[in-house]
Formats: sequence, structure tokens, C-alpha cells
Amino acid sequence: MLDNDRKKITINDLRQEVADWRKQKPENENIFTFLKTPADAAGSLIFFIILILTILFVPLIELLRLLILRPALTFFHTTVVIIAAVFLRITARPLIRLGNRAILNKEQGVNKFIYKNFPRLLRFFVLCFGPSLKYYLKIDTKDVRSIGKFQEWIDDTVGVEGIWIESDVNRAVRRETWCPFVGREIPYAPLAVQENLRPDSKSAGQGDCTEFCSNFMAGWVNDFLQYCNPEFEIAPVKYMIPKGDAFCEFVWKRKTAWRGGER
Amino acid sequence: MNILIAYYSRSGHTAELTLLIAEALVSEGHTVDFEKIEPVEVDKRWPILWRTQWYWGALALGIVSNKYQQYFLENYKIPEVDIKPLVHPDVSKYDRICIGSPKQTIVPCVIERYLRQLEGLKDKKVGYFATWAGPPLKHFEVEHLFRPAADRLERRGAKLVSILGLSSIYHEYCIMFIFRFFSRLRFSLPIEEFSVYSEYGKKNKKLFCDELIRGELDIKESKGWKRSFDGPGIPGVATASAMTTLQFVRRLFVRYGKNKT
Repeated sequence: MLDNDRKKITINDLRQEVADWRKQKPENENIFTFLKTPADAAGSLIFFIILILTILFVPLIELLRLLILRPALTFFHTTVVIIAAVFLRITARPLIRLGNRAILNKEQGVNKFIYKNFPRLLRFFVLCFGPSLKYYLKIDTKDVRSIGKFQEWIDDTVGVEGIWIESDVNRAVRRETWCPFVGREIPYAPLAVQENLRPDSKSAGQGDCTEFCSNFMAGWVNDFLQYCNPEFEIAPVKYMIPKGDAFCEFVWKRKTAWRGGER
Repeated sequence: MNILIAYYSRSGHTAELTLLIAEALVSEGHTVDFEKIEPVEVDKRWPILWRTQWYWGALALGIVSNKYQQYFLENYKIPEVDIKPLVHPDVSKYDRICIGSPKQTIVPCVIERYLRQLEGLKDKKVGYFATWAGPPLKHFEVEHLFRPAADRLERRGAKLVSILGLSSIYHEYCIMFIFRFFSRLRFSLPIEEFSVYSEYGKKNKKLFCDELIRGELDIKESKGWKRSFDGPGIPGVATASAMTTLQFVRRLFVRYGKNKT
């Protein structure tokens, strides 16, 4: 409902309003008429002080932030990311090879290592290096494609090659087209047929892919995803090179059953 | 074409420009409706300034750092004030929407609330005209008003297709002399050359109406608009300031030098 004094204005009303206004058109005041009232004098004084303070200090704080804080943060996070990259570069390949060999040879304690200790190690990695990676990669946590830069970074570091085939805010799909572990020293392909290594595994018998890579890569990436924004998740990996497909496919998407925020 | 002109006028100058634009549109055969946007409480001059006082430091930094200026324009929040109930709260029946306001350092708080309240803006083409004290300086006037307005309209699904900013040659705070000086410094012209009734004003008013009706231009994506965004940075500002100052000094020298001889 409208107020009583709110009515439709026609062009004639506007003409009348402007004509009335022209009769008493406000003029620019000079300094003497402007400071006539105490309110204006006090307001001018307060505003002048605030103006001087803000013009002096706000740029100073902003400049400090831009010139000192940001470079310092960038230096710190870049150093941490370099350490992480070196750590990953040195340890990732031997760890994967060891893990695969252990699975193949059915070594003692392999289940505990793969399913309990290794995810813990990866979670610890995210805990240590996550904030720095988030800063370094300039990740926007509301954009799943932006969070996906993490996988790009891992791929670049480890030597996997891949492309993004979907780049949406709510859904991104990455296909890894070349993996350094396939066809190398580790016979990765036979793992595809050994999905029942761990009988209680949910993925066993459901057509999912190799246990180790699912746990290693998808789990790790998912940890980082949960750290950045728990509204997103990695879908179960369906296509993998060791299984005989031409690529590995990782689908980053918004959780379908998410009820805590916007869908 | 069915057009809604929504205007907020504090000192009356915007209402005057609204009337001129409306008469131009009506003379072309369009149907025009009006929406007078009024705040619930009309503030005195100092509370308005108080709301934006935090902005002045950032403004100072924006002069020397174009990158910071862009960051600030993208991220700052405009305060809002309550407005009276609207006569046309749903604008879906109009082909074009025209918004008019003064420039109160940035987008006025009243307009910010109006843009938030308005319904049916999806896929609408909008024109924005304004009156301000100074000459049409890209950095201070044009960019600080129309860019946030374009952003806000884009978020609501509308498109800004036409803009107009003219000088009212009036300022509430007794600082008109600053704008007169900058008009001379930047354009080498008196401020009256950019007023509503000047040649510049008439020409741009016609251009504004034409662009509004045509509705093809996307102000945010247009080349001229982008050029106004991409400032020259510190070296550019320094060079331009030096050149304009030298030009001003040279003009003085030539004028008074001739008189002497």
C-alpha cells in the first residue's frame, strides 16, 4: 500500500515542481554565509580534522599493507609452497611406487598403511601447506574451478598432464591424459583387476578404479577441497588410465545434498 | 516506447535535468512515467558527508594508484538509507528505465536502496543521468558514479546503455571554487561550459536520449568506458599533472605577457 502523500507524478507536476524551485533556486554560499550557523562551523571543523586524518593515515595504512604486508606474506607463502613442491617432488613418486608394490605383493600391514596412515599423512600435508597454497594459487573458495588450481599444481609438480574440459563455478572436470606412473617401473595396469584386495572396501566390486590412486589423489584433493569450501566435493572417480580408459577424470562439483547454503 | 524515469533530487538540479530529458523523450513520441525517490528522513548536509568520510582517504590513494582505485571501486560498500514506498516498485512493464540522481561522492545512499528494492530489472536497459558540481572528470566524477551503478545493475540482470553527467554549478559545502579551478586546469574551460543549458549539455542530453532509445550500447563493455577505467598510473598522472600545470602557466604567461608588450 502506498502512503497517502505518494501519488503518480505527471510531467505537468514535474514542470510545476521545477518552476517553483526556480523561484527559490539555491545559490552557492561563500565562506562567510556558510559558517554563519554554529552547526556548520562545528561540522566544518570536525570534517576538516577528519579529512586531514584520513588523507594522512588511510593511505599510509593502505600503503603499508600494499608495500610491506603483502610482499611479506607473498614471500612467506611462496617459500612454503616451494618447500611443499620440493617435498612432493622428492617423496610422491617413491611413495606411490612403494604403495603399489605393497599392494601387488600383498605385504603385511599394507591395509593399515593405505587406508589409515597414508590419508592421515595427506591430511597433515593439507594442514601444513593448505593456507600457503591457497594464498599462492590465489584461490577463490566460492569457485570450484579456482580451487581446482590445486590439482593443476600437483600435476605440474609430479609430472602428470591434463586438461580442464569443464570450467564452471559449480562444476569443473579435469582429465589427466598422461601419467608418469603408468607403464613405468611399477606395473600399474594389473592393479585394475585387483580391486578386491580389500574386501570391505566400498569401491570393491562397484566398478570404481584402482584403490591406491583413488585414495591417494582423490582423497588428497578432496581434503584440500574440504579445507577450502565444504560445499564442494570430488565425485567418485569413474575413468582411470590403469583401468584401461584413455584418461583419468576428476569431477569437482557442488555437493548434491548440501543444505547449509545456496544450492 | 514506455519509459520510467526515476529521479532523486536533493537541491532541485536533478529534477530540472529530469524535466529536460522527459520533455525530449515525450517530444519523440514516447510515454514517460515518473518515480520520485524520496528518503524517509531528509538529512542535513553534515550527516551525508559523515557517511562517506571513510572514503576520502581511499580517494587520495586512488589518485596515485590506479590499481588500488580499481580494487576499491570493485569492493567498496555503499551505505543505504530508508526511502518512501515506491509508486512503481515493479518495472517489468517498461521498455526502458532511466535513473537520475546527484553524485554524493559516490552513488547516493538513496539510489543504492532504490536499486536494491526495485523489481523486474531482469534484462532491462537502463540509462543513468546525474548532476554534480564539477566538470566531467573521468577519474572523480564519471568513474565513481557510473561504474558502481553499472556493477549493481549488472548484478540485478539489467544493462546500463546510456549515461549523462552534467554540472549543476552548485555545491552544498562551499567548495565550488575547487571545481572551477579543476575545470580550468583540466579542460581550460569555465565550469559553465559543462552545465545543463550549455552546448555541451544540450548535445550530450540528445546523445543520452538517443542511446537510451537505441539500447545497443553496453556502457560497461564499450571502448570509451573502458578507456576511462584504465587510468595511466603514477607516471601518467605525474606527467599529465605536470603538462596541464605547465599549460596553465603558459596560458597565463602568454595572456599577461601580451598585455605587457
